[in-house]
Amino acid sequence: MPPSVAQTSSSLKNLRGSKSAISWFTFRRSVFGGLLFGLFATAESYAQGRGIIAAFPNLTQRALIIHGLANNAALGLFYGDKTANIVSPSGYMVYRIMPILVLVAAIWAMTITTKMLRGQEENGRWELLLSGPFSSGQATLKSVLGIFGVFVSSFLVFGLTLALLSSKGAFRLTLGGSLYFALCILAGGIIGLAIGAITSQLAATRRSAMLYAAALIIVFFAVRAVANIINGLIWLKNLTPFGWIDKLRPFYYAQPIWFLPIVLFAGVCLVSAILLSSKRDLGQSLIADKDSAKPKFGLLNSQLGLNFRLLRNVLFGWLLGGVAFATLIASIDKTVAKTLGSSGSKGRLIKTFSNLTGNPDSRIEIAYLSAAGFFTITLLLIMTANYLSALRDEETSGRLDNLISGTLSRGYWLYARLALVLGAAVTITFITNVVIWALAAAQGISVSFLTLVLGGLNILGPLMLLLGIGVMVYGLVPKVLSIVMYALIGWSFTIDIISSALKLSKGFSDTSLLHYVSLVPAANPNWRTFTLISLIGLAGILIGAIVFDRRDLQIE
Amino acid sequence: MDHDAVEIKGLSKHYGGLAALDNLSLDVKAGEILGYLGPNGSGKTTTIRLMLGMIKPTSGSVSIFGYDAQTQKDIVHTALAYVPGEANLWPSLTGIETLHLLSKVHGRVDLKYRKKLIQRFEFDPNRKVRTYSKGNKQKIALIAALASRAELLILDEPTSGLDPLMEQAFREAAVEAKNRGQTIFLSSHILGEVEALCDRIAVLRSGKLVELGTLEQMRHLSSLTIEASFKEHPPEVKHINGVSKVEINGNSLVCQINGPIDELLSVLAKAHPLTLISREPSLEELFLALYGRQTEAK
Repeated sequence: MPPSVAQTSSSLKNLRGSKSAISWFTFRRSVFGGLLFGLFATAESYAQGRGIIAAFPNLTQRALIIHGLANNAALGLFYGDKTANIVSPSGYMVYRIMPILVLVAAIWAMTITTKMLRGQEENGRWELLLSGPFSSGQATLKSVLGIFGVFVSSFLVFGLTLALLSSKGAFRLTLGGSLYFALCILAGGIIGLAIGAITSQLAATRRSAMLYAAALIIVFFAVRAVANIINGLIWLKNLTPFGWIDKLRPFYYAQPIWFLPIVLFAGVCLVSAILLSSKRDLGQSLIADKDSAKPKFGLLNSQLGLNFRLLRNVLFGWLLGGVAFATLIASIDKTVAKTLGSSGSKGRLIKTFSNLTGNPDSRIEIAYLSAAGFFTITLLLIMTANYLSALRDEETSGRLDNLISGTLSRGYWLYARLALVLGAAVTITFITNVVIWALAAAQGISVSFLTLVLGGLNILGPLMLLLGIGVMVYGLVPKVLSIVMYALIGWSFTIDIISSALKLSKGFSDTSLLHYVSLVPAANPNWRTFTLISLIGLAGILIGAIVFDRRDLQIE
Repeated sequence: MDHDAVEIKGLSKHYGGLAALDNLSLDVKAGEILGYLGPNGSGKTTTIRLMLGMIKPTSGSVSIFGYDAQTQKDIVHTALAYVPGEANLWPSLTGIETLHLLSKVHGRVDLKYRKKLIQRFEFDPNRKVRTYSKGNKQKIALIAALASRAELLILDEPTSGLDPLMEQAFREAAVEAKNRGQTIFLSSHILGEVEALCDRIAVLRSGKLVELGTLEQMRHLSSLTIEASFKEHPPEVKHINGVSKVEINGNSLVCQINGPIDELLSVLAKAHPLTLISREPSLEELFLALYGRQTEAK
């Protein structure tokens, strides 16, 4: 073979080897989140199993409280399969945490899949990948494999750390059991991946792809919830991927056969996504998006208006989510109170809710109603973290340059953004509390409007604290903003869950943002704490804004 | 006006041990177009971001119309408009909505002129930004900046992504701006554009200013090209001081000369040339000669 031909042949071999580059690239972009999810899932799962033993060491006690919970059909919305052996710590862990972790895994997987597929196509990076020796279908397949690699990492971290933590002490799990449980949770991720891959082919923008995928996930989860709540409709579980995951039943009569429909579902979605991506033109989508629109200048005359214009759909989505949660909890309040009140463990339940609300109330329906505040603050914290992360994106993408090269100052830009998120938080809190009050009143539960609606605003204190910390991090080390925000929220939840079961030192509990929430109407708002942490948050915002004004802007 | 449009004094920007910009001193007179040239990574965009107050200098200062670009941004930015090298805009807004927003950001707009520019750049303003090509996104930033009629236009490779016809449209608009008394700081890679538009040229390399002057003043950087044809074999010129790159093709001679030309002319004249052409170096030749010289020096 002439030397030049031999060289070309060798180069082509190298080129073929480079085909794994897309998978590695995708893996590297997402693996950190996967490892964090694995650790988060371990902490949440272990806290449930360990917590139930700590709170109710006696089997009879556990049976009383747990059957009280399991008899309440409404709790089937977010809790697991009540036919499982929930009196055992491992069964209780599966019952309490598995559906939520599966849902979080699905949403997380859908988010990274739409980002790596439609997101990259939208920002033009996909073209660079396709200029290599890849067809569009191959690039999609390689990206999916990269995300799958992230799941494997997450699965190993989750399964192994859970097995390690529960290898000693009262709460014990086998290695095989832990790995099977991790696999069940990650099955949610596989579902999210499959749905995200297909909607990335259907939608023209990443935002639309996420909306379609989120809608599908919600529908699948809702079908599972309906099947769990209404006795006659249990067969509906056979129609939804979340129902199939429930039927996997880790630790108690495991039924791995239900992996089959999950794999089939994911396989059909992924093969369809790969085929669609190889057949359509770059940048096109199956569902056409409007390329032009009638101009609307109304909101484009100020920075605040621009922010609202750009984010109104997202904020409206958060509001809908908040109202949906509030409706869900408030509408079943009377039923829950009746079920739990007659379970023979009323006193203990009040104590459990008291731990959550921080102040016992003799009426169980009031205590349960207060749990809505917990969901609202959860929603608002995630919304705020998401919103703050978008600040950095606005800066590094160069869009901020367009604004501050004009008459707009950096400080005004930042304060306008913060004002919008605070305004959105106040609106969401207010509306959800009004909904809760109205639904409670409709069920004949007497709650003071002022206590609920105005007192409920105390949850904005931790939000201010999060904003303050976020703006300081954004000013000082913007690169780590997202990680710090989500780590802080994850930490707060972990501490909160652990502290509901175990006695933690005050200093430890104080590190949780949720520790500063007074859940009304069961607990009276602690306005002193609210004022203090709001002021600390405000100070953080001011310091962060000053640092931001003085530091170099960063671009990609 | 009392002050120069831009006055840069001893400006440096270091990132750790790397000097992105090193002791730059430069001024731009009001009403002139300054071409700012340099290879990739030479510090052009760093200079512009320092002028806009987006990053802080390690040392030195920039003043724009007499106001400090770092501490008096609020005043400075009322007098300027900026076009980035890559226009990153909001994908969900339409072209006309983006132009409206940017006019609010600049604080002023000549609507009649904006309409004219939209036509001149053959821009369809009703589409969403995410559907525009790179060139069309660049047109939005250009139209917005030009329509603001700002006293100082800071343009960072403004025609990247534009086709030759649109480049021509940009040149017309730049000349109009200059005729109105506006100042333009033009960072560009397109040497023909700089040659056609700029009153003076600054050349940057590795963060340092290596040349500053008019094109005429810079011609000394490169050799004069001489082409001559003769009835018979051309005379011997290699021995003449400053002569280089001698090429003889039949009865034709092409060579380059640096420095005094009288001795070469005398030798050529004695050989009775049929044709004699002398050609000054283009900006491209100057640019290449300058970088060639710097690379050799390194």
